[in-house]
Amino acid sequence: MDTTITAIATPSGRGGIGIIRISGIDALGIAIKIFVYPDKTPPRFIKPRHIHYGYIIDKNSKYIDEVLLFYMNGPQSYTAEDVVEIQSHSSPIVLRKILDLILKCGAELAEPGEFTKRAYLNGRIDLTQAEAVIDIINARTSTSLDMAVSQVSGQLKDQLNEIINVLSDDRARIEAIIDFPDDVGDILDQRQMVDRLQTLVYNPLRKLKQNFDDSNIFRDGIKIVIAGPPNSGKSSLLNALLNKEKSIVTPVPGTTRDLIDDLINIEGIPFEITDTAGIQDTQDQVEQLGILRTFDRMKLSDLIILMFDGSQSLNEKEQKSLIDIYNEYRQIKKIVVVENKIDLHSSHGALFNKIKPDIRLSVLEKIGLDELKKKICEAVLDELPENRSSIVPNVRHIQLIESALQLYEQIIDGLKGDRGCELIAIDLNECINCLGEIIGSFVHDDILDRIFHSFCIGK
Amino acid sequence: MGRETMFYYGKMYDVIVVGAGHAGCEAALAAARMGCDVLLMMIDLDKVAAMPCSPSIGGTAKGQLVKEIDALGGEMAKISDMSAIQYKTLNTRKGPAVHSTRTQNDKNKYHKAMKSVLEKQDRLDLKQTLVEQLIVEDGTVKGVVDFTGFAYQGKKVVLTTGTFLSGLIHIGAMRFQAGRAGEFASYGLAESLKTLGFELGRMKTGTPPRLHRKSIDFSRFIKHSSDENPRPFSFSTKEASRLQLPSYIGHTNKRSRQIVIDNLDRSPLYCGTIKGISARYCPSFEDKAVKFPQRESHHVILEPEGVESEEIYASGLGNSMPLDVQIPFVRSVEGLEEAEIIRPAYAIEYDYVNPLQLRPTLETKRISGLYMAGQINGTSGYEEAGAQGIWAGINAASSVQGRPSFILDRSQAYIGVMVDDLVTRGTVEPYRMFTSRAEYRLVMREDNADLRLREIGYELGLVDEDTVREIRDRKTSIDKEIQRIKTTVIRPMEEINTYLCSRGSNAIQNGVHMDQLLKRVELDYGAVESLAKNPEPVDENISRQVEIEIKYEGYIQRQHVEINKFRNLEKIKIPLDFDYGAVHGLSNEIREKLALIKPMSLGQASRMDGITPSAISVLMVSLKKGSGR
Repeated sequence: MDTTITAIATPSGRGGIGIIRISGIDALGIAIKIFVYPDKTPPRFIKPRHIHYGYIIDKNSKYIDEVLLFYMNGPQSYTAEDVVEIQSHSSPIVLRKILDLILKCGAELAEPGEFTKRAYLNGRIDLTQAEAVIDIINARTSTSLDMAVSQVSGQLKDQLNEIINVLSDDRARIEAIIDFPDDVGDILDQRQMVDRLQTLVYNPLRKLKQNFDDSNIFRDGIKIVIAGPPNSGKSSLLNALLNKEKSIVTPVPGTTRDLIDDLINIEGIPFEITDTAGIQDTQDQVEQLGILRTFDRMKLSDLIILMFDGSQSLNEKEQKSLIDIYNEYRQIKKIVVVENKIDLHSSHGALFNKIKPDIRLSVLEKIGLDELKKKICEAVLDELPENRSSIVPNVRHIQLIESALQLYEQIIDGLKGDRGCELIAIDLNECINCLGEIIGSFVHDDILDRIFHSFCIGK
Repeated sequence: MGRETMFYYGKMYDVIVVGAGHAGCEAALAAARMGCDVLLMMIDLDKVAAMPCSPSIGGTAKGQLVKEIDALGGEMAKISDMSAIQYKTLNTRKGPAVHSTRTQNDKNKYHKAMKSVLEKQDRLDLKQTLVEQLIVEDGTVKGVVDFTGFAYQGKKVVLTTGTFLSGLIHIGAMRFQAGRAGEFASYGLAESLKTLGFELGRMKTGTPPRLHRKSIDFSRFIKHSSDENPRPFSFSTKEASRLQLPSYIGHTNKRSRQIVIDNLDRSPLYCGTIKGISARYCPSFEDKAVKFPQRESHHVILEPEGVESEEIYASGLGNSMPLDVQIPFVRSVEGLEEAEIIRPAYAIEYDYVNPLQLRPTLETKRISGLYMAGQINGTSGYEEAGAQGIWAGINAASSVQGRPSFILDRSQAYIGVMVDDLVTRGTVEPYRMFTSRAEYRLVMREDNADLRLREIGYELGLVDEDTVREIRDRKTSIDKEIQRIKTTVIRPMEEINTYLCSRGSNAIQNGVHMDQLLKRVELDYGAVESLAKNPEPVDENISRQVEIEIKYEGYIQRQHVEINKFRNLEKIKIPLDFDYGAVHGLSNEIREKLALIKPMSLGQASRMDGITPSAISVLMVSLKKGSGR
């Protein structure tokens, strides 16, 4: 077993802790690549059988989650190989991001029950435990099958089946030309096949890939933009949420002239949160540019925190711009309206007739921050439901789709470059198997059935 | 059979082969050449190695089988060369992996040549008789009894009954018992097998009409001649036969179809008389007419049955109609208006033994020492039969001599693919070899069958010393030449680029290794070699392999990765007496299937129908447990 495998070891669902397990010769190497201690120093070596506290970071040193990491050196581990376990928040998004990272470092996704199987094959588990092990394999298989079934929703499955069908038809065409040249002729219409594959295979696969790429939820967390008039406390809010000084906070309005973003984690869900330049009428060119970017960013966001200082009366222009933003975006974005500085007890309520704040808080006195976090989670969890995951493939799926797309390129190269059809058949078959793996059923070899159904064969 | 006394022939044979068709001949020859005393029994010795259907050997995937039989030391390719009247390499527009040889053969010459080889073979006795019964004691076969009640004793018996097992011929509503037109069927043996507990199934095949040459207007057909410079079929034949006879291609038309459709109620295939399953790739004309109604015309290929024969095999006109329909049907074809039918087309039903009852050696699981090969295992085709014949013959002989079983896996030979398919998945329709059944066809080519299998044939004692030495030398030369091509640099000189452009290839900017140029579709070995500073071209049978290995390199490497994965599972053996009932965690359905098929390895188990990946995991764990780690 020269491969390193990984999987999320805990059942999916919110709340509690999630565990990701890595086993194999590269387990430690991968851990060293993705883990840093709280002071941001990467480990040179991870001491086995100790709990390490720190962060998982991606290759751009972007923080993903706060974790506990546990390294067991082989053969004194469950699988008798080097094993690393990472305990993170249990949010499926966090878990998937970490898993994705590990896969990108070269690990392979474990088959159901593969850890247990390795444990057994490596002689880790003694004979009396054999039957219990089998139960575990069976149990895991059924849960992971259930998971697979629920992950591959009807829509995605139907779409993939259609693509597989196209590929299988083309393979049958090629096999017929190879095996029955007397009956069906021995020339392949490459051009027609290229067109067909482009429309019926490439385009839908590309679209699935695009959905995945576009899905900021899975890649970069949910995007939050804090917007509002200058000096309403946006930067302070960001810092309060981050628990650190990131934006330069001064009482001078307009301090934040550019965008400042960071990843935060609220109840296990990653958010990319952006502090923006305050929206106001200004002659300052730098500040104008900042404001333009604020608008751009709001368009890309999943959620806007529209913030104003409730202790100040807003002038007409300020009021108008806030109301304009609210009206313009509420149809298309989640908006949480936040009134800040309630500690000053001088609520003006200038907007109350037109917009009612969802949350009233004081960043300075840390009043209402928890309510805000809760509100944010509620707002995005409405957005997150199954209907979204149904068209967006998960990490495992997208890996296979990417492989299928690579094979597609080879098939097209082959067809255009007059490569032998026996070679194109190999690529087609591999492409079919990649997509079949997503659906979870092995694609059975019905090529002969297809040939006999479509072509009149025989003397 | 209730006979009071049985008379025994005094001789004790090592191997008895029942049936001298393409399977039986290869089985008997292999066993005798391995040093066994062999008895070959045949209802009519004038029908040894007959070609009751098409007068040709080989074709796509079948050509590979014949080359493999040849490389192992079998006879089929040599006899084909002796009797060939036309050579064709199919799929030459495609890559070498799917090139397949096909010969048209003089049937009579084929039969005579094979019979002569059998007669001259040491340790081989030929007997003309009809076998009616198997002698079995304590689950082990001991010999056979013929229709006169005379018994022959043998340690192993190989059954190659072809279409003779309860054969029943149909021509329209007319039915009669026959193994082939004009030959006895074998009903007693079928009963004997049923009594022993074998599960028999029924299949159907058929053959087109034979027409008189002089009654055909060949001007209405397109002539198809042999390849110009044919390669012989056998690796040991020096030169392909010069005698060349053409075939002729024509077409059926709307009227042909209409005649058949109008009389469909008189076809035993369509009025329910025929129960046997027929092959989809070899349809009766009734099937073509019904299943592809939109097609107005189908190929008719007229193939000579032999040099001295005036009979013409009318491929594509196979049917099971009564003669009063067959005649107008045949005559509806342009050029056949005056055709005289010498032998009518007919359909035949016969019994086969579900091959799931066989081990990968082709020995039955039920009766020790009893082997089966050819159509009795549910296959069709001379080549499929011959390949199983040599396989069963080798295994029967090996077993007598206490040698290990002879099994080629799916990455070694088409024969291995076929046998694995049969014993692992069974078959409901007559099984024919296709290249698409072979997962690793890039590495299992016709052109390298000798490189793949000669050494194995030599170890078995079927290939001589000189031949195997030549193979070893050739392998070394090929490796050396590949190394040379990969390390020789071609520099971007003007005359070289001029030459490349003249061959429609791009000029080179920097020095490149010769293999990089050889990978280009438009350049072959000769072209690339001519660019070397000091060309040292090698022999064609070496350069051809070098060219294929380099041109296919990427894909071949990918196949080798797959093959390694495949072999890892094959390596995990399952003992024959493995108790699936004691395996915790398998469903009852899967348990029963495994107990029935008794796969030899985890790999074979994984290819069975309805086996899940988790069942394989469970088995793997249980096997480790059993191994007493």
